[in-house]
Amino acid sequence: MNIKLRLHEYSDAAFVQGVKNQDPVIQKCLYLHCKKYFSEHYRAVFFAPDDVRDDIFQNTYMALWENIERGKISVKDGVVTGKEEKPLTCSLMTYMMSIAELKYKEITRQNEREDRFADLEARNSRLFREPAEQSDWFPDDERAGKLEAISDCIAVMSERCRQILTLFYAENKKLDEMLSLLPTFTSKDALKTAKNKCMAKLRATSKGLYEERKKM
Amino acid sequence: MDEKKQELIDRYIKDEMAAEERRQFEKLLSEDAELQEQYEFTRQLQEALKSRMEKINLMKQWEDEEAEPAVQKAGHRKTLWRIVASVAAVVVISVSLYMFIQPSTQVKMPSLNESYGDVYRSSGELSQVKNLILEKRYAEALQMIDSLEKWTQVDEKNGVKATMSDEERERIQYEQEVELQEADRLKWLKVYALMGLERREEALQLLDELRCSNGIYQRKADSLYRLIK
Repeated sequence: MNIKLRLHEYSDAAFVQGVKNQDPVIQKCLYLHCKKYFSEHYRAVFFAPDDVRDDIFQNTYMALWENIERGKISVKDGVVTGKEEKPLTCSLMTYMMSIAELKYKEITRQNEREDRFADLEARNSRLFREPAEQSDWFPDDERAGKLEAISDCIAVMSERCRQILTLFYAENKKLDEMLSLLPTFTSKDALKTAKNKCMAKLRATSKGLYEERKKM
Repeated sequence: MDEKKQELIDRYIKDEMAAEERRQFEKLLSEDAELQEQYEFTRQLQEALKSRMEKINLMKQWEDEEAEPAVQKAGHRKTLWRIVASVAAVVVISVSLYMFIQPSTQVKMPSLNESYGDVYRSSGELSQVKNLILEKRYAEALQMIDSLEKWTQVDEKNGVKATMSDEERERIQYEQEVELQEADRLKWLKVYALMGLERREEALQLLDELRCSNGIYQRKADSLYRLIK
């Protein structure tokens, strides 16, 4: 018999610390809490059809999670802090919704173009010139900043590229194995070429994004 | 992006190189800045993709845990209701049993100060009895009441006679009235003492006498009789 008890609610600091400590109960609790809050409040921030809304939430939550893991927001003396360990000036949910707004803008701009990587300069000038809040989030560490830029670009890249790169680098599959999973590719060489093209685009975009954020 | 360099990097991070080839690649890595940068980007990409994949899998797992099939959820709800109903039944039975076994303690007697002291100034002895009851010294109070009862019995032999003058008749009637009131007062106090000693039936008997008479406690006795009954 599996009776579920109501999940306990935590403070913002407890959530952040729990996720940082990889506490599975708190991680799940925060996810459900964020999902509920997002579904109740997203209409005040943007309008999107259900499938887009779900993508936005997934990317938003992932960004929040990674921000906590990378120490962009942390807990000091029981208070949630942001850059330079200054106390966060809003609640964790408000912080999440501001990430959601940015993710929404990224996705809608992506949908405006057929090939979002074609015009790199235009993309850098429009897509990633975000409000001043972004500068507060820019990590001091160069590596962390580049990693964050890569993560953000992965979130908005084409599903095809994301699938190829995930299979190859995250799941560590060989090209032969991938051919059976991606029937649209007829040869290893074609698959290899596609993979390298995706990498080249991602590298250029993430580099541009990183440089753009540094200027802010 | 140099595809040949990328192929080397891919084989290196996937651990597909032999020991010697691996050593040569590491030497090249330390000497070639462009290779280093490309290698670093590949490592970060791999890290970002793995992190994303783990998170997505966890999020899917949580979604699956929350979105149980409707039948299973209904089953869980039924089980929960059964447990709640069982606990409620046990509580109700326990309370009923407790009330059945301990009936007299459930009666909330009206405050003695309010029910007794409003009619007439009472004698010193009655005040003493009242104080004993308020201090819950019921046995002592009952003892005192029993001894006082012998003294407060109305002497009917010394009642009104035809040969008496009006003044005398009035005086005797007044004295009898006072004695009756004293007797009722004692009975009222006795009811409280008996209830304190959990002698419910005797208390009810006394209350029945009081409510059937036209005394000062008739209405109060009737209310209390019904309450205890």
